[in-house]
Amino acid sequence: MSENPTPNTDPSEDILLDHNYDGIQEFDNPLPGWWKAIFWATIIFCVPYTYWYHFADGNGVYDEYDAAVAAKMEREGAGGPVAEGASGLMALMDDPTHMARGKAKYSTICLACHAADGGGVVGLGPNMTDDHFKNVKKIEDILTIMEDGIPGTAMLSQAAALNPGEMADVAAYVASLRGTTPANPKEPEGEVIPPWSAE
Amino acid sequence: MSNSNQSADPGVMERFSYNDDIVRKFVFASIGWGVVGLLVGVIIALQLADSRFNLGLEWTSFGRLRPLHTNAVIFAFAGNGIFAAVYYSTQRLVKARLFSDLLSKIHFWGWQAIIVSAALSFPFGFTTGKEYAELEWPIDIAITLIWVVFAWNFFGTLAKRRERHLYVAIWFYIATIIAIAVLHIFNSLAIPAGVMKSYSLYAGVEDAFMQWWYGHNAVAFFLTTPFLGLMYYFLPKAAGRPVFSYKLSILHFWSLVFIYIWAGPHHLHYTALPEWASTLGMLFSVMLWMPSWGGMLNGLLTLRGAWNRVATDPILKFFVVGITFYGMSTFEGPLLSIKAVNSLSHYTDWTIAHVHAGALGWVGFMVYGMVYWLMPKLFQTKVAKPGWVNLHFWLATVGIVFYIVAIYIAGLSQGLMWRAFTAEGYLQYPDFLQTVTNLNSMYWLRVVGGALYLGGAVLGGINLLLTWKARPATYEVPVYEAPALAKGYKDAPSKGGFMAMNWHRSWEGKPFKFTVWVVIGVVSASLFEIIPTFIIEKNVPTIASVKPYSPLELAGRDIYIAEGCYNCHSQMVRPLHFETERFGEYSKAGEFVYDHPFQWGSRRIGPDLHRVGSRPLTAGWHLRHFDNPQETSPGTMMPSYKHLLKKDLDYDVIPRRMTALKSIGVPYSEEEILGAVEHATAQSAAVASQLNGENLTGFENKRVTAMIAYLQRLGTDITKGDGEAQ
Repeated sequence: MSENPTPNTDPSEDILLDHNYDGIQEFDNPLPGWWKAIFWATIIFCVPYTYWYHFADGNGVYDEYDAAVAAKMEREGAGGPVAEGASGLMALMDDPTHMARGKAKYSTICLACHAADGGGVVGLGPNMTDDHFKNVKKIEDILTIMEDGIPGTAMLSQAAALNPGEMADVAAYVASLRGTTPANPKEPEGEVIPPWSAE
Repeated sequence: MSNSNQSADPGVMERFSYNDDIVRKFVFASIGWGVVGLLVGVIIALQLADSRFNLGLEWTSFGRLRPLHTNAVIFAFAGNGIFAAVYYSTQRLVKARLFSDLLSKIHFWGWQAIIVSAALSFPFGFTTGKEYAELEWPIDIAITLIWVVFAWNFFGTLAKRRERHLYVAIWFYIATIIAIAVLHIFNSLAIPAGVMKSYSLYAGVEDAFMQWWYGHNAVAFFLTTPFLGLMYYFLPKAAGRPVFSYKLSILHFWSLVFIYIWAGPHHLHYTALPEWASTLGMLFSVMLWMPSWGGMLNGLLTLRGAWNRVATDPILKFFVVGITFYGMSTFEGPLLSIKAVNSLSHYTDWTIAHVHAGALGWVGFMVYGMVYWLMPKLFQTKVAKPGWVNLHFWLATVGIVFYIVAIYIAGLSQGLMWRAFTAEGYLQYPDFLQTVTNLNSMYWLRVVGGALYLGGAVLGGINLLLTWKARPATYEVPVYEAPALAKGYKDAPSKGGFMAMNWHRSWEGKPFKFTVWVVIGVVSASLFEIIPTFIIEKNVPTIASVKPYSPLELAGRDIYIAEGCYNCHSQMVRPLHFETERFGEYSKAGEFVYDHPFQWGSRRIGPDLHRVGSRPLTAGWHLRHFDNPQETSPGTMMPSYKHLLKKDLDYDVIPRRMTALKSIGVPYSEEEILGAVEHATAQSAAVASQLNGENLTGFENKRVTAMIAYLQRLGTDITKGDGEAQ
């Protein structure tokens, strides 16, 4: 064994045990104090943690979830005010809060067929940014299609995925996509329809 | 000799030599398979950066290759490295040749056959669908048998030993052999449903619990304890310094053995696993911090007095960096196990970065350090390219840094994007795909890091071959002399209290007693968690409307498993507001009671699929998505599953599979099983007719109809009828 201590780390005071395994020896050094202290601390930590979260008032995973959902309900109600008719939808288009919710919901659900920017997907949803529409004549038709779906196409009713307030917000958001420029627009389908109108 | 009692009669002097041939074989296997495992890693890293690297072939898709990568690295690279370390060091530490040269050979060739069978079965979709335990039942049985051969050979060697006391490295080897046997057997219990098909005996929450009891402790007892054993032999040998603290060895060994097993549930925080189990997993993980650092300290402090050599000796560099990564990983592990941290990290790349710091840094560097130290000794010649060793070290170190920095950033970014709400209270990144495509540049950096590490490994492999070529015509086999163990030996009575730890010395002379205590540590901790998980009924509240899958849906689920969809998609919506906003109602324990195996996943490269059945997605959408995911989800890394559209479904296997499931508790009636083929054919026709309605014709009896049926069923039972938990 080479005993070759460097000047700044002098282990010469360590006690060498009489163990020798294939030339490997062992020092009889004590456990480092900080090591013992942290080990004990992690053991003791279990007691208050378990007491607080499982036997006292500490909020568990589900308590926190319920609180978050309750906060949302307080903010939005059970789906928010339901906008009816063309004028209602046109009004939503001017409301940033409703448009934000419409966009959020559109981007979790509708983009699967209509693309994230509304440009449409070949074989699935049409481009909703141009002036051509297949099944929409007036702005309120968007909402009707979302509620009922279009039989024989990939457009299903969204009633199970969205509550009425969310559905109205998404319809308004979809209407707002008209006139925007998507990355990969699908070929126009259907007839040119007049601009959205509150009438 | 460590014989502290001079009064015992010295035993008869004996002559013996060591079996180094088997060590040479395992070294070659480790380095060779290491290159393969890392290469597959680089390939799947490329696939995540650009889906075209899936090559459009079903056999080379990410879902099938990722298990090949993980299994190759864990069981082939690390596994063979462990066996080399155990066989080389044990013989010398106990002054005895291996118990049997024949068993050694069976062990070697059996293990390589298992690896080859894994490499052949994964690309063809033979998998149990349980991570790191994906091998199908015939291979699982082979693993058990070969492990028994290994144990027999190892304990037989201890029985023949000429060194009274067992050194700390041997303790760690004992823990490895015992724990891996218990974990492998009980997690792999399954009912066969064909030559290469089986269903886990456990379902849903219980299967998840068993899987992560196994998964976590495979890390503990396959990637940690044997490498600590390796460290305790090869580091003091390479450094020429005594081990820092014998007391620390004792305490950190036993605390690891008794605490590690409990920590598994931290892989299931915020899932449908009961909260008490989750809490146990977290607390025991936090308690593991110091026991793990005990190993790091004993490693690094052993280098006191040798630090001047670390700068110049690449072998010591490998060891120092390896041990440092061990310290980093075992600090990060407890951190990630804290529930609040886990809600951010879980399902993201953070976990991937964590395991790669451990696998590339700790496991990899310890293997390479050991192999370079062994090379001149095993091949009885100089290392062919000494300069390359240093180059390998730097390539690998820089490679790890590239890999983990990129993937930590990716993981943290994704976790933060998932949970980000706008000021109005809506998801800021509602489009899941965006939370993945945003990471693309990091994925390219990972490829660079992985390639650098692979480059180092290739350099190491060539160096090994060149050194081997320069070997002498015949190896010298030195003969050693040592007295046999004396009879009637007694250790000096232990002085001091429990914490003085002198009592431990006598245990070290009694391998049987020592092993029994390891068994007690591993088994008792397991039972403390397993028994309540299985017997407390309220852990899994029954949901009356949850019914078994139809025959076609079951066939679809089997395809889902075979394709390895769980490698990218989870099926577990956590009770976190940002999760339910994105994916729908959180997942309930009672929804998974017929899921043999569970498919909750551990990583979301794609969105969670548990509520995909409630999504307003038609059969046609799913078909187009399988055909060309780029069309429906531009920028996605999901490969095309065109083959599902082309290949016919094999109806004939369905009744046998239902029978297997019935035997483990899924309530299929005899009539349902007898009519399964007819029922499945009709349901496939119904899906095909939906597709016809969307102008997609010709898909009757194709596999895609089963996948669509399964996906449209997923997570919907809870909304049918009386869906409330009772």
